[in-house]
Amino acid sequence: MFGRAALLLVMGMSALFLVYTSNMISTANKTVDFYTQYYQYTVAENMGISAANIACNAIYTSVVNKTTVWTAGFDIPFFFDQTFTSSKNRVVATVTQRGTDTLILLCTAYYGDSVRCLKIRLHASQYSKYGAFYNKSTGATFATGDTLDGPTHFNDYLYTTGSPVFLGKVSTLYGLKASGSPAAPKFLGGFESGINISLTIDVSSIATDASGGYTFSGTASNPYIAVDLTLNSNGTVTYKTKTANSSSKLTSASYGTATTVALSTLAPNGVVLIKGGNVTMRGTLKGQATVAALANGLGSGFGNVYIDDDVVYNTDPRIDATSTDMLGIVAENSTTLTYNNSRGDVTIMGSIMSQNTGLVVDSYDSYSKAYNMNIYGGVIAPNVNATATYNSSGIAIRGYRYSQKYDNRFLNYSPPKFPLTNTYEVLSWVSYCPVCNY
Amino acid sequence: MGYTTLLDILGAFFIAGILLLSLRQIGNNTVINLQYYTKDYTMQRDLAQLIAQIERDFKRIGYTTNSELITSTADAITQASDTCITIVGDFDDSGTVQSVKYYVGSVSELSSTHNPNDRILYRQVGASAAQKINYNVTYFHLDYYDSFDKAITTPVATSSTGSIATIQIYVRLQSPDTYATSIDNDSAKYTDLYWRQMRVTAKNLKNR
Repeated sequence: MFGRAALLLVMGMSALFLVYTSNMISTANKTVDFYTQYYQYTVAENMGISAANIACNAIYTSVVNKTTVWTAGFDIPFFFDQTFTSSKNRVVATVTQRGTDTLILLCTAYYGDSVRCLKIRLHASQYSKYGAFYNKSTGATFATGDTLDGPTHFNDYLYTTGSPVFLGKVSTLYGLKASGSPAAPKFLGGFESGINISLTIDVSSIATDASGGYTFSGTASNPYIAVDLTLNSNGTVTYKTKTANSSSKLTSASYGTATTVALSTLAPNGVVLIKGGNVTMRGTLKGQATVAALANGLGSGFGNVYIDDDVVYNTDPRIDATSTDMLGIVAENSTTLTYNNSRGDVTIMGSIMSQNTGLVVDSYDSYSKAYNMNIYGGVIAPNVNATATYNSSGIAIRGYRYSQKYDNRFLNYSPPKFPLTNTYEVLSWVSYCPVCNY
Repeated sequence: MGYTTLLDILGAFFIAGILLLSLRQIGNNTVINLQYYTKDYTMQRDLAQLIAQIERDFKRIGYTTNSELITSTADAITQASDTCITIVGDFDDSGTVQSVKYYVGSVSELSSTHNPNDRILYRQVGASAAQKINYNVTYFHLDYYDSFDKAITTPVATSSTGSIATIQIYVRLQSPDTYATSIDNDSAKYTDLYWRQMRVTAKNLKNR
């Protein structure tokens, strides 16, 4: 009797144990399921990132003269050399154009039961977003005590000595060469290398843009032109011109009668182009304008912007953040601060782009003392030029001390039709599940 | 006959006794294992959900479709220490940016649990009340690295948060109560899970 009871007991307990074991195995399996789901999610996410990188590369390399751009997209199985070619292992990329300058790249990755979507917004990059952009950095080594504001780019190495401070993001083509002790530059906005952005003004693009603005140009018989331009604080501009059939005659010629006209009337889209000549400017800008000087094949003596006094905004954005005054200066050759020993400190507000020679202080060693050149905006140039003569203690004794502060508005806005770089930049990047939107 | 019956009975008692003892042990082990697997399951689920939340938030640091709202990397991480971080981004894709703060409470908040080291992990969105997103955190640690993969000393100065390029996250969870490893409970253990994210890179930090 007891033997039978014992057997029943064993069988009963075995049955209970089987139920428990089944539950335990089920629980253990579910635990593994979490990892499996996480793994699938991670792989799908990484597949999406890979697809986005492939697509971004296709976009970057397809841009030619800022006009053509890759929008074909793709839909491909992700594991080419394996058998995972079902619809559950693939990436799909689509590119949509928004307006003239913005692309939306959508990359969807399917892996197992997971699907991840990456939405990337790209925008044609503008030179004006830079606080400092130099093609070469051989002209300068940034040292302890130097502070650069705004995004900074070098199509070269960045050379530093000691601990200069870079407030904005710094990008370079080749990387960093830091020296000194400590060799510790401070990048408070981050650092990225391997970024190649050529410094090229698209001349034809500016000429096209100026069709909605105003173009100063010579005639067939007098192709050389010089413009004297004063920006007035009431939103008008006063200009004088002179033309000649040779460079030397242009220098000795006299300006014609001054004309004052509203900037919005002269150049409705804000672009004032001097084609085949130079412009000398100063004044107070009310509104938005881009003043561009192109050589038009006449050589390095042309395509220059000369600044002979302050160029400032009517409403200083440092005082009134709602200011909409914004200036772009574009020179195919140089932007030059003319020599004037009695002028004193000078302030220039705007984004200054000078393709061939850069920002120049004329005869800086001839000044009797050192003054301040305050730039509020950005400088885009092929190289860093000297602006002052320094004594052995590193103190400027003649010329202009260079002081630049970035105008943060240039991060999101640019002067009218300011030149675009030949590339796109990522404005935002987000991943989510297209099913649950998480 | 009488002896045989008696031997049968005694034998049955003996075998039944052994079986009962074995079954008791099996039952105990079953309960212990069930405890372990249940706790493990719960903890794994909590960890997976916690990590999904953390990864999602950290990958959206600095994200916004309106570039005017976040103009520099420093605006995207406003506070960074080894146990606390405040990040800024459009986390819910609403077109506005919010700040999200992750931090751990003190061990005294969970003094009622057996585990002396467990803490609450908080997630606070803007100025709203902090959400308690996990009760089992015994270690929450953040390391920061710059673009040159050099560790940044914590707490990171507010003026230097823009130099953060990647973040390494460590999370360790332990159960609030032990599970027994033997019936006498003399070597009780906490269910212990550890997760480390190697270098979270918020893509949007590179955009500014």
